Amino acid sequence: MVDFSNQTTMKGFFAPTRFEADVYDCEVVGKIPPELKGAFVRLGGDWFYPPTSQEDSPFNMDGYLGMFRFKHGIVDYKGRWVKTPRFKADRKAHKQLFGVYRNPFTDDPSVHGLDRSVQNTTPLAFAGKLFTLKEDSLPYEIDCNTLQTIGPWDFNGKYKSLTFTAHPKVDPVTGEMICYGYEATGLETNDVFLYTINKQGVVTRELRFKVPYISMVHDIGLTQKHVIIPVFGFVTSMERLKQGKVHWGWDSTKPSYVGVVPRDGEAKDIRWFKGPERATVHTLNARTEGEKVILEAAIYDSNPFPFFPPIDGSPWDPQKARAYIRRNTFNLNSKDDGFTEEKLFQMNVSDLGRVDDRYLSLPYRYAFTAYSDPKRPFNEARAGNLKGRVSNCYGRFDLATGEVSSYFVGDTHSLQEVCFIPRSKDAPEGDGFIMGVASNYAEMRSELIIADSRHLEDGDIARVILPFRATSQVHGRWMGEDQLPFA
Amino acid sequence: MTCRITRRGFLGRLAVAGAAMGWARLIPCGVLLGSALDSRVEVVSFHMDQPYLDPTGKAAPYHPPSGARSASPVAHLSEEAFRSSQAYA
Repeated sequence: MVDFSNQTTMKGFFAPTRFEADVYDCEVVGKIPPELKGAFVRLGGDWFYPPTSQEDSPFNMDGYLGMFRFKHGIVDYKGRWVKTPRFKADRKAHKQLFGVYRNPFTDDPSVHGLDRSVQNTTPLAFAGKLFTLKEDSLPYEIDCNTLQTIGPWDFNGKYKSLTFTAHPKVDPVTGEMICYGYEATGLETNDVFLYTINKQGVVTRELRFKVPYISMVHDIGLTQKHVIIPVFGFVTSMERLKQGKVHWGWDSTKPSYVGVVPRDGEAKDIRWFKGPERATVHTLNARTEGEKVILEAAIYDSNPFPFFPPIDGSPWDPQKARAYIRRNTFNLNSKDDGFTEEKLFQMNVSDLGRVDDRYLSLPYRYAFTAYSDPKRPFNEARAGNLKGRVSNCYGRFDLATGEVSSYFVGDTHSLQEVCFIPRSKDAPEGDGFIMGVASNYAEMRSELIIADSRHLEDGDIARVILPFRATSQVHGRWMGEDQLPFA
Repeated sequence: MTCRITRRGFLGRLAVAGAAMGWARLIPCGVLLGSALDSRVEVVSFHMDQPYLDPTGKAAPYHPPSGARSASPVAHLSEEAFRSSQAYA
């Protein structure tokens, strides 16, 4: 018997949606730009069975893929669970067998040793294949037309880390993918394996090193010469796991470390810089300028996630869970381990920011991300009293001038992560479309927003309407017809 | 088991009804007009892809009961409780 009635936060718009879906020829308000040929693929999670603990993390939800397929100006939608061994085991048992986030000690003994990954973070198109990514396990290959789960992929046995990041970087110049796994040799290990994989999907380089302390290494920065590795406040221990807690807790006494290593360097070449309490969960972009390595990201002052609580028992502080677009500069000629930090914009934003991927690792000008503008209207009668608590705008942040141009989604909506799609392969930087899914709280449905990145103030040029609530998303990516063998 | 009418289904039936009305032009107009004037002017609208009848005739948008759905059920939660379930709402 499935019972979500005692899940106090899974109500209304946030109640589980437990079905798979096909919607052919979706309702469209506006006109789909003819340049859009491919698919917007989004990955997130939903609870198929309720979690075993109210203390669990939403990052433990079962993975769910949604795909908006664009072809001839028509959009079809398909939604499928990622059929991991864990998902199948739960289905067979008709209940949740797995305990809290990344803690196998809390699992039902019947699933001991089974891959407990939920594959719920980032979709990836690489070397002609579609993958789902979750940082606690290998990538899972997915059929890009049916969204059926094929299974884990280890790059023909050449990828040795037990884990694979949710944020690999594809170098737009070489087509290579720079990726890594942390806790690479198992639970509670401080090993990181860093890989270069060529555009054919062949592992060409491996670098093994250790981080200053075991922590969440969720994302990295990539330049043409260096890899930047942020390590910050989330900590774990075997003792903690045996106490039945979620994998991560926050230790505010831990300094932030940022490792900088040449792309062709060895472990001895890594230089660790040390900074104040921060959380660099996601990065925007990075570049090397002479002896300076520069990282830009929406960085939190402190712990952004209340479900990974402070280990000292102090309350989680929402005031510090705010992200600002900042620039960290690491001087390779410096004699100490410090670095400089600048706040580039004074407004707090979603840390799920994106850039024009053609400029990844290179000098660039524009960043895109969502944010909450409290001056915009919010219709509390129709959408509930979440004013100021949800993102209602996408912004284009001009890092050269400091200007922000803004798209407002409407007074009953909330925006998920933004994605940028160039208008054409040779279009200028930032010239194209922004895309992302909006939650329409009034109509209890999800809408895919498409807006012209040059005219955000004009509103969207098209909305693809789903007649239901799509599962919540972590990350979404545009995948062109030249990237995957779409039918 | 309830029979739900979808928006497309409803519009399809409307089209059929329209065709039938065209055929019925042979019927004296007074018969049809008389029956229409006897009833209130109700408006068909849609909510969540389901048609409903607006008896006021004002075509007012449908407002759901407070707390029944949308984000209302979680609006009372603290920031900590809300973000514990919705990391990226």
